[in-house]
Amino acid sequence: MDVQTKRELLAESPLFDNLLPNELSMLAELFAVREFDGAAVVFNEGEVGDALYVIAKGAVEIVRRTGTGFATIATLEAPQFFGEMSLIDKEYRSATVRAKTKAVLLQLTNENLHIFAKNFRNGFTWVVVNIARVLSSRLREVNKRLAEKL
Amino acid sequence: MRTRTVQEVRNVLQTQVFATWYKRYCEVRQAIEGAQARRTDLLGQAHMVRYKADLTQQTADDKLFAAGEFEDLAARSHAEYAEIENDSFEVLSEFELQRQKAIDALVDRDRLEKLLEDGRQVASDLRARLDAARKHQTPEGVAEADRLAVRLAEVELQVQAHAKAVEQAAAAEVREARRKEELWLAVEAAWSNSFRANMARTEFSYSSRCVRAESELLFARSVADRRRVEQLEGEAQRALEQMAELDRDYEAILEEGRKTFECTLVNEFLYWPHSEDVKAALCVPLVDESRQFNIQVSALQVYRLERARGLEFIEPARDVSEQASETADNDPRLEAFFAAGPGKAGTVSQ
Repeated sequence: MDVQTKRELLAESPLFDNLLPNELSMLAELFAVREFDGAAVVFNEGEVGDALYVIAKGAVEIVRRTGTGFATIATLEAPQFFGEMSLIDKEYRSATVRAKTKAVLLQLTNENLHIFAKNFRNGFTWVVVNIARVLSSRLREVNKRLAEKL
Repeated sequence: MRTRTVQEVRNVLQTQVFATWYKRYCEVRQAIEGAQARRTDLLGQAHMVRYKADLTQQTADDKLFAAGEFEDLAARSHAEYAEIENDSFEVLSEFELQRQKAIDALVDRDRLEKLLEDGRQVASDLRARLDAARKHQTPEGVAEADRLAVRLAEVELQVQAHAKAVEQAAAAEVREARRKEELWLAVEAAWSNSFRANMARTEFSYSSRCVRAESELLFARSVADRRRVEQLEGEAQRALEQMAELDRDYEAILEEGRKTFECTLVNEFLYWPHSEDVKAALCVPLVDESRQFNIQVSALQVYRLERARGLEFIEPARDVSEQASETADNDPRLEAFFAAGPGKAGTVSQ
């Protein structure tokens, strides 16, 4: 996958809203292409997180361990993303992600995000704002559901 | 080797001298890869054909052995056939003798039956004459009757002897006829075995010729395959020589690159010390590489790296002027973000 194709894929993701063309171009260089066969694990619950992923092709499922096995929390497809929480809190992965079908993912590591931050401070701010928006949106959704149950 | 800025490196990459050098670099690398692939392919083919030749020769050896076995079988069948033929003549001769014996027994029985019939007839006549003589009470009549009675007694004894002889002759005839039948069955069995052995001999002989012909064909193929192996190995050797020549050309091009562009050039990257950072270096990959580094590198792009870490961690290189414009406090996006009304700044789609 060439850099231009990656750039076009990233431009579709809400994580990179408001980024300038040259910021997107550098991000496209910093994202590595990773390919997974169906059922292959991208990362496991409990591992230290060091990267976020944008789905370029295929689908992944997010699963959590239960008493008897695994429960699927969500299924994601292109151009959705996952793993962004670990870029903010540097905590352990809260769920396991595995490929549902043959999947092509774009991976941005902490180290490469640091390169981006050094080169594009404002662009980095926007990436962080966008991640905060995602987390904020999810928190609102959880609050709403909690209120309905109460 | 003097230090360079990002812009200076970009200027080098834009010169005609670099373009010409890079074109030759790519051509020689492509030629080396082509020669390498060709040599690998030729050696692979040579190994395959050698393996096939060995296998073909092994099969040919096995076929030759099988042809010998068929020849042995044919020879054994021929010997068996000859022996059965001899035996069959003996059995046939014995049968002919037995047939004569059976005929003799039949004739003998007929002769004895005739004698028995004649004796019975004579006895019957004597009995009639004795009855007639006993009716005459004269002395001559009595004497005649006595004489006839003696004669009748003699004849009856003879008839009894003939009857016994006929009985024995009939038994002998049956015995000889049975023996004749047994010998005829033996003759037929011998002829049947002789036929089978003769057919087996000819078929084994035919099989031997077929298998030997196959074996010769396989030997010829094996020889042809070995000639092909020699040819392929010769071509692989020539490809190796061509590779050595190309390697010399490649080394000369690398040396020319080092001198012309005043850089360090190991194989696929040009390196210069960074003018603006003593701990950093600038590098330019000469090939695309998407998997082996922390980022996807593209040929003829400028990258920055820490001297201590080298290629283990690469960053896209940016000029000082580019960095200054990014850090300038003139980005309208933040202003727009903070000026936005309720709900707008927080809107996000996932």
